Amino acid sequence: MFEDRSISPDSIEMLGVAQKLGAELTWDRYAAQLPQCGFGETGLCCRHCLQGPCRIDPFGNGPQVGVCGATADTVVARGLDRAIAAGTAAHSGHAKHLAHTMKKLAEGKAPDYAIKNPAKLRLVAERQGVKLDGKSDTQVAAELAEAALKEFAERHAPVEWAMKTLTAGRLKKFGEMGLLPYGIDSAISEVMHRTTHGVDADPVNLLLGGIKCAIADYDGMALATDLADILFGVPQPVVAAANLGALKKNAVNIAVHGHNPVLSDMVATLAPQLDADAKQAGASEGINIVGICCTGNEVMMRHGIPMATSSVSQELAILTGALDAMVVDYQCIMPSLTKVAEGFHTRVITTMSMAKMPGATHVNFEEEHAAEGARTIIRLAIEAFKKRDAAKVHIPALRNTAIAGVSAETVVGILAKVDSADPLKPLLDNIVNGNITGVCLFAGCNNVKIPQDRNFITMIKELARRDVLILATGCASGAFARHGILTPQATEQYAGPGLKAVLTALGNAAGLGAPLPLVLHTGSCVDNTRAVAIAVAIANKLGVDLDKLPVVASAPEAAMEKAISIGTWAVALGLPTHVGVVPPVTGSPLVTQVLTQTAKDLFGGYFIVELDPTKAAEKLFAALNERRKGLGLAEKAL
Amino acid sequence: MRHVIVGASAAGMAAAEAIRKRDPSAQIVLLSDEACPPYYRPLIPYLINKEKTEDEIARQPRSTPARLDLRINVHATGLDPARRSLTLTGGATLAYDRLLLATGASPILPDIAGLDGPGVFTLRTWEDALGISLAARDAKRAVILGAGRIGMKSAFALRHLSLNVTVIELLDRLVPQQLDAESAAIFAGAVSNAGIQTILGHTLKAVKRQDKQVISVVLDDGRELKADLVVVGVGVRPNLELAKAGSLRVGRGLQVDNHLCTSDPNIFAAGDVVETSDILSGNPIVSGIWTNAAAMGQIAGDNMAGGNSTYAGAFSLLNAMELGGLPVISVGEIHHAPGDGVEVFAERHGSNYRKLVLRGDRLIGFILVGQIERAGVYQTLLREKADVSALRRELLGPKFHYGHYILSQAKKVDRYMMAG
Amino acid sequence: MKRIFVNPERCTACKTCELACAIEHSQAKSIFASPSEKPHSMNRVFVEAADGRKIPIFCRHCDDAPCVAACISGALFRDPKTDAVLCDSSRCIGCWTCVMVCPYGVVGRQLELGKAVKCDLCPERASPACVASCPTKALVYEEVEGFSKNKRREFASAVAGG
Repeated sequence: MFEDRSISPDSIEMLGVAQKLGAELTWDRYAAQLPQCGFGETGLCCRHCLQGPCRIDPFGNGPQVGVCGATADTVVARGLDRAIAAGTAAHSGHAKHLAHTMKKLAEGKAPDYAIKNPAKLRLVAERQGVKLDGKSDTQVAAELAEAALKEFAERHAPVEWAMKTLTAGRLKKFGEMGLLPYGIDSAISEVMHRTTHGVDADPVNLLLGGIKCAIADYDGMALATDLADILFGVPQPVVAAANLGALKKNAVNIAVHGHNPVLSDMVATLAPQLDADAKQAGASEGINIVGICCTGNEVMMRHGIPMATSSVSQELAILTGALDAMVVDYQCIMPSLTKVAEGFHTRVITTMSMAKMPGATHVNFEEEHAAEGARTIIRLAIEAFKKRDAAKVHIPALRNTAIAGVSAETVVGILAKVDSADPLKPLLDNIVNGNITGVCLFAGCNNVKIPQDRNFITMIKELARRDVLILATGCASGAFARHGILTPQATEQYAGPGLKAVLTALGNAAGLGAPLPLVLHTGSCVDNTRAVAIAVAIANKLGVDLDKLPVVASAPEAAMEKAISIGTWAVALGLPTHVGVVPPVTGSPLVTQVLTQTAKDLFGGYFIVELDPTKAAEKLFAALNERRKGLGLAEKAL
Repeated sequence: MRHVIVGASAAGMAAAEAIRKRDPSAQIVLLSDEACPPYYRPLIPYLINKEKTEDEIARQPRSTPARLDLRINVHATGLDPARRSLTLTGGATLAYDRLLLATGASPILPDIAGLDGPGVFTLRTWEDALGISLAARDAKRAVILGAGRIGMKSAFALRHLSLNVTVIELLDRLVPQQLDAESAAIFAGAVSNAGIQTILGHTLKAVKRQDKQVISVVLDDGRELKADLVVVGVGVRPNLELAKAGSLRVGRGLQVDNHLCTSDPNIFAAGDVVETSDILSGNPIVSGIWTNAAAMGQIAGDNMAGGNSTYAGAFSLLNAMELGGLPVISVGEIHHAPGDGVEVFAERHGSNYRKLVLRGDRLIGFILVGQIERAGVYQTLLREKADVSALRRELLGPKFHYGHYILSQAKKVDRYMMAG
Repeated sequence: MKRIFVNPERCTACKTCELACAIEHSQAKSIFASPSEKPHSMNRVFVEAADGRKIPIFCRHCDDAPCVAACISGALFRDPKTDAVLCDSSRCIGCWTCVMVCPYGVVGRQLELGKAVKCDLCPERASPACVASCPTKALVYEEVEGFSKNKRREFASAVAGG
């Protein structure tokens, strides 16, 4: 039942509930959309001017050019570029929000925030060219915030986070190719400009422009991760939980959903203060904060808050009848939540003035009054709790343990317990000796077109048994969390002998008394940059560039424009990058070829589009072996 | 009710189909004077270069009406309309309730010295085609008299067999009935690319033989061309012997009314034997076109079985062909010069050519070379003598289609398009 | 027997029907893989514009199909089971006589093969691919008799004058 929708048992259970209630969910809406437009699927529809909408016939029987003369290659490339720009804009919004918050904090305007990690503040500030001597944390923070805000503007030099965190090899290559963006928003704006009617019609030039924007995306994400660590703490390993079973019948359940810890961290921090109020309202277990999507990752890593669900199954949390409030900021939040909530007492609360939803309650969250805002929100949830209909409550029992919080610092910290002088050595030695074939970073979303988590779980088993060390972020982490993969037990069950040996040794070194979890939960989507930091460290130690490392990436159930922008910079950084859905590019064989083949010649990285998860794992394994061979390492047999 | 049909080609078979549709229990006797099962006559050029086998041009059961009493290799030599009976070779008689004469036409052999004898062929039957194919095995140089469709198809077939081929045509262009000067010029390019030589504006005076074998031909201007195989394709003449034997009224062809009934109320006629009228001009014509034969057969058969269909006349030009890689569709009156109420719109881009001929508010002819899509919609305008005044711009535009047509026909009901 | 009927007022000219037709008649039957096939697949249903209106144009599988009568090679024939008019490519010689006589202009030419192509009512499907794919249900697949009851109402004006 529902195998075509999800393989996650708690989702499946709630799909049964949904069916009984006649609730319309994303899967139903997707079915109603079928068949989806073939012109859209192939990227051959253009709506960039009022002389359209134009479509190009992929079979060659109808028109082959748009009204302005744009060919299939141009139309597809422009469309892809706009998706990259949109993804970059989303991460840019997230990053600048953190920068503004830090600035306000430094100016004393946002007293509810604090510098949780002054060491990282100083480390990052110094790296980014801020002079430290004699300055207080507040002063350093002020200058770092300024430097961060400058990233978004028109500038006369390449963006600084990229310049300071990438390898020299990558920077040289990007510089020579003219791909270093001078400003994050500048890059986004340039894409919008070059893709409008009558600007850039050269498909390869367009794609290179998209790559430049994707590098700006990386820059914003790296900045976001740094500032979040400074403001909210560098993640350390934490034992948390996952699945809808994390909801508690006797607690006021509040889900934080969306992306920015500026909101979710405040809600999570303040919740204990209002425990008493909750108990007074009849919730014997007080307040229970759960996370959905990336912001769930942020608070899981820093506060051990459980991940109730994510992405495509977000509506199911409301259907449990036990969710008293869903608090959202921006990105990946389905507008259908308010409709789903109509049958329940759940309060859907929007918090950002640029992200509202009809039917939601809006509490404008301002950093200046963050604590107050958080308390208002929590109180609304407590009020809502009183209206809960016990008869409608159905919380699935499934509740997996999930170990999270593997920042780059964590990885180095654990490795340092094995070799304090040269922490990367144990990792490299094990790659060289073949215990570890290589590293795969899983990222991205769930996609309604794929049974939820099916690709993730199939691939994890195939790669783990091939001794691939796996990192995960975003809703990939969410998927693994749901299936108990973020546990030592999963290592025992699925890891190949080499991987198991390494994870066991590291787990013991870390004092866990058990192997490290099968997948290292590295954070939210912006925290994909944590994996880059590790890769850069390894590359620099080996004296090669990123495109030589046995490191690959996979977004097997990608859905959002942010996944496209991240995938693009992953390719530009030299990673073979797997995507498990067909992006809207096949209408142009040229663009398709550039993304999957020419990119390899230019960057070392390239896209692998493979819908079958078993084949995808095989292709990634082959790509890892190709890298091993290039480094003079023995290739791994299966 | 016994229906007897003389002739098992396009008209005869279409009539049999129509009779069977209207009267499932009728007895249908179909006589063919050829010693082979019914086949698609237009395909016989493919037998010359063995591009198709005899099986591949034979009519299949799915295109043959049910319960047909088919008798091949049967010649009808006598007709007694009063007694309603046919006489067959050997003396046997065959009685009928209704009779269809679909005896077709035979190739004209011009009065040219030396034409008679081996090595000279017409191309009308599959026996002819097999004969040419056999002769081509030992032949090196073929001469085709007449650059009509038969002549050109033979030319390409023989060229595929690597013979040296020369086509001789009396008029000043190739395929002169079906093409105008412009399209003939485009076609000439394809013909020349295929390595076929052409001599326009001339005819043959004589065929020279040695020991009965053809060794050369002599043109009207005295030129002599080496040749060892001659194909003559200068037109056909209706086979009227049987009609005359029954004293039916004949002119250039067997004369019929608009129900395709002859001067005898129980005898109908269809196909190449018939003298019908040109649908556009009303002039009497004899049509040698498969499509027209099938259309006539269908109406004649329907009427034989009790129907009341009328035949509006035939297009004297109703041509679709692809030769030398060039597709051409030409219908109606395409040879008019502008003036006297006639407008001619023509445009050419490389080997794509389009000409529309209008008289007043009616499309009276068109020719499409290259981009022949949707020709049938133009043909409908011709056949219905439609008033195209509201359609002019679209008709002359780059993509005229059925949507334009149906919207212009306010009273016409298209049963497949719904309201509301 | 069933035929495709059109409600042109519901047509958005999205041309999903054209794509679905081309996909259905390809080898790979996939929007992603089929376009690169050789010979290329062709749609047999067409959406055209006339007078600001969107008109789907498709084969009616006519009772006295002019194309079947005119075919000089026996390639076009009537399927006794479905009553659909089909083209047997193995017999087609690319003479284009069918193109010349089809009143709707819906017989196409497959140039790479030199054969006529036309609608076959998707014999392997329960309902034709175009009908199944139409997002606004502008195309329906109905019994001819049942439809006759509705058809007289305001057709000409709806299609021509409306």
